[in-house]
Amino acid sequence: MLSEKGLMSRISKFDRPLLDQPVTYRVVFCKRGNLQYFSHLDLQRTWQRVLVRASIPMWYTQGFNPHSKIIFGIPLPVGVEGLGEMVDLRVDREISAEEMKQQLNAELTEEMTVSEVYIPTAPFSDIVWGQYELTLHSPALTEEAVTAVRGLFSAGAPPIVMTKRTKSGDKQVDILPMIRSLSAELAGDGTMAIHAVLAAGNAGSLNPEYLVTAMRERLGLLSDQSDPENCWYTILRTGFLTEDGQAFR
Amino acid sequence: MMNQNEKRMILTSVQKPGRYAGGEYGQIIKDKASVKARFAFCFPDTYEIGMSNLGIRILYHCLNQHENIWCERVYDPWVDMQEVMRAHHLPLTAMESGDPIRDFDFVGFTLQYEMSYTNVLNMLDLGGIPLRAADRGENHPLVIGGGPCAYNPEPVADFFDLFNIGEGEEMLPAIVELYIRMKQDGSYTRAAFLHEAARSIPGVYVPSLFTVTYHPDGTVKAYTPVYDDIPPVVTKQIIKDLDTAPFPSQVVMPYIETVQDRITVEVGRGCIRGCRFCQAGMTYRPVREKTPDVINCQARAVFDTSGYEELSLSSLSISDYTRIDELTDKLLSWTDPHMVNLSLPSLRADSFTKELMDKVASIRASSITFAPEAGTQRLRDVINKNLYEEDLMRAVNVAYDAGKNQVKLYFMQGHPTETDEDLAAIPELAHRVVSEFYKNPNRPRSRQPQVTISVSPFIPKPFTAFQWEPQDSLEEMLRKQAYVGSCVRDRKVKYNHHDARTCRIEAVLARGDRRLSAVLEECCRRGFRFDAWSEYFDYDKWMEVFSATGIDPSFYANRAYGLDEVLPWDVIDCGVTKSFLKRERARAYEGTTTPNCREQCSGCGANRLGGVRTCCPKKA
Repeated sequence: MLSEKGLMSRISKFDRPLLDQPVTYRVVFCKRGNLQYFSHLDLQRTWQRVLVRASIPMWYTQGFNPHSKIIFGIPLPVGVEGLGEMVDLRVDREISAEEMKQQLNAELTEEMTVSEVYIPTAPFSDIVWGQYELTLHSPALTEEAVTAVRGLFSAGAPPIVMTKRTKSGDKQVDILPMIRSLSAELAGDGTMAIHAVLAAGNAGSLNPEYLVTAMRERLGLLSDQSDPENCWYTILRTGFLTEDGQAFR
Repeated sequence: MMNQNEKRMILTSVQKPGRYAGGEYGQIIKDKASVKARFAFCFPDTYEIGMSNLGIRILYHCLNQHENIWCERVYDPWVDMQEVMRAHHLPLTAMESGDPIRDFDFVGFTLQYEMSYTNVLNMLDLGGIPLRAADRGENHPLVIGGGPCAYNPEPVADFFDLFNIGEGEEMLPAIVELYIRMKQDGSYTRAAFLHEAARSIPGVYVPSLFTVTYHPDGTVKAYTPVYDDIPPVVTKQIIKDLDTAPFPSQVVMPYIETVQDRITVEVGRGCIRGCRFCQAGMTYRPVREKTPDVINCQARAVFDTSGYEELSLSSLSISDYTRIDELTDKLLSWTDPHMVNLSLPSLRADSFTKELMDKVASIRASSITFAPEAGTQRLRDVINKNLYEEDLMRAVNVAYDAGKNQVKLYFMQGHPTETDEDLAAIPELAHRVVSEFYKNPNRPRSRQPQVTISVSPFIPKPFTAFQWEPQDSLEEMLRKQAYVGSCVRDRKVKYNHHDARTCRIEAVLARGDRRLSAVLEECCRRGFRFDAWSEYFDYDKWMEVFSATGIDPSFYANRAYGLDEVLPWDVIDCGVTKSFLKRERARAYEGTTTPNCREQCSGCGANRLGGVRTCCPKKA
């Protein structure tokens, strides 16, 4: 039995005219809900298959072991949702940005949909900062806790030295210089909303989990880990900034 | 179902949270209020293994084709997740809805290997479902089992309400439909349903409807049905025409890497060969094939909906497929331009040709695997392998010609009539495969040959010619393993062997009767799980359970079962007859081979089951 999809009149990539030169498109997509639990490596493998079933006319390297060119932006840590994740794709046949978006979305779930496809003007190496929204919930979160959080992460505060796991072993790092800005406010009963701009790029990256760990260790917040129903937090990455704080596209 | 915030806190506290996340592309979501029966399809091992199983892919599709049925997937949480679940009192849930399995109408388990039995019980326990069928009430799910190990369901009989014996594509939906019908017309009670299923649906085995009596020596005396309107022997069900059998064109796409993450399409079921130790070779009979066009269309449809980069043809012996050339030509016409690798597992050395090799040469792997199973021709004749050393040498030369330098060879130890001479011949054969490399003028000159021999202990399995044979004692298995190792005299030959202790427990469970349910229940009480994983298998603890329950493992593993004895699996008819198996056993002891089904019909009896067959000369 053939699937309905298999019989659909989707244009085979081989029916599209070849381009004189391969073209690179940037695809902006979200990674939400259940998909926050999959690693960057899982994401890469998934996209290889999405591109095949969406019949995107990928350009392949010439060589003994041909492979397509797929370059991802800044990896999203496991447990963090993303609204504006990016991947650059190189195609060698005619396809419009709109067609590409439609064909991709037909092969994706709503937890990972493409919001935009365009021809990029800036390389991923221009990304220096990531924008994050943290939502923390615990009965113990009050205005006092918010004040304490603001103080902990304020620009002139004492260094927050934490142990960072790296490939070359554990390192002691002050995370404060990796925070460009941070604001905290109470958003309803026992819920705190934090907006943070954190280092995210080739020069260095700060996993937003460190903020939570710092609040746990230094302020005693969210310390009741035995009650995941009433004591939880979520992290969302909304976008990226260049070195001077401009939105990256 | 727990909320998303709670789920996040739980999942970020365990390793590989992707195993539990769900949300895969291709999963089937239905409105639970509008379906009439919910089926939790459990695979009693990890997500990575379960997601690779073709049988589940097919049955998930078959059940969900019915508007009134919603089938969801359930996998066994890894040890770290189980601890978290127990600490937070979280019950085992299904992937799609996140609902606890105890709230389902059916909880189904596929029994793929005996060592997963402790996981079955552990999953019931995690799910909050009473282990024994007798302890379940009207509001508990019906627990149903199926799969290859269900051909001897007796060791787990007390835990299941019913079994699906044979191929489930038609039978499983029929069972659920009967349930829906009886619920609707008000005639449903647990007992009435089980009786009606056993009476009216061929292939349904309800263990509680059979009384088992035993002789004083511990052997089975008789299986007696409780009602006289149910069949006293349950006959395996088969799909008559594989070409028209339901096949899912949409695969549930895992995000994490699984064991077999690729397109898998069966080319047929059954095997023409009749190796005397092989259970699958008997229980999948009669041999039925799909036509190349159907296989090609199915493979292409899965490619279109998956984007997988590898296509694997599944069969017990792929090179025996009658139209293999036609099929591979058809497949290659689209797999090549789409850069999909074609892989052909289970190649037999005697039907492995240069033509076939050229077609699968795109596979990057530098190794090729064959299974001579025994070191000497005498012993290969005893087990009816029907393979000659010339065949193997010709096959490895085809591989060497094509630039391969690694050969893997599978063997077994402990076959009936085996001597140390047969064992010493295993490494000797491997040494000759190494020499063959240097004799081959077309060999890849930049590389050294590497021959790996894997030797696993013989495990007597129900419905084989060797079902009556004893397994070697543990001491003898270990001695033989060491002896084979001592005969390896070349560093280019690598020697692996299976764990003998695991194989001993597997033999007990494979040939066990109903009294083993007490052993498994005690295993569960003591927290056994993942016994198929060497890091969690503890032989001494198994021995403690045997002694605590008063069960002697040697009675099942090391005893020669009597030819006239009532066997625990005599309550099942798998097509192949006992008289055929006895004939085959006698021929084994004579050292006489039996021709394969394509050469001559050996009258195994499986043709009684019907089916569209391609290679049986006597199409009676």
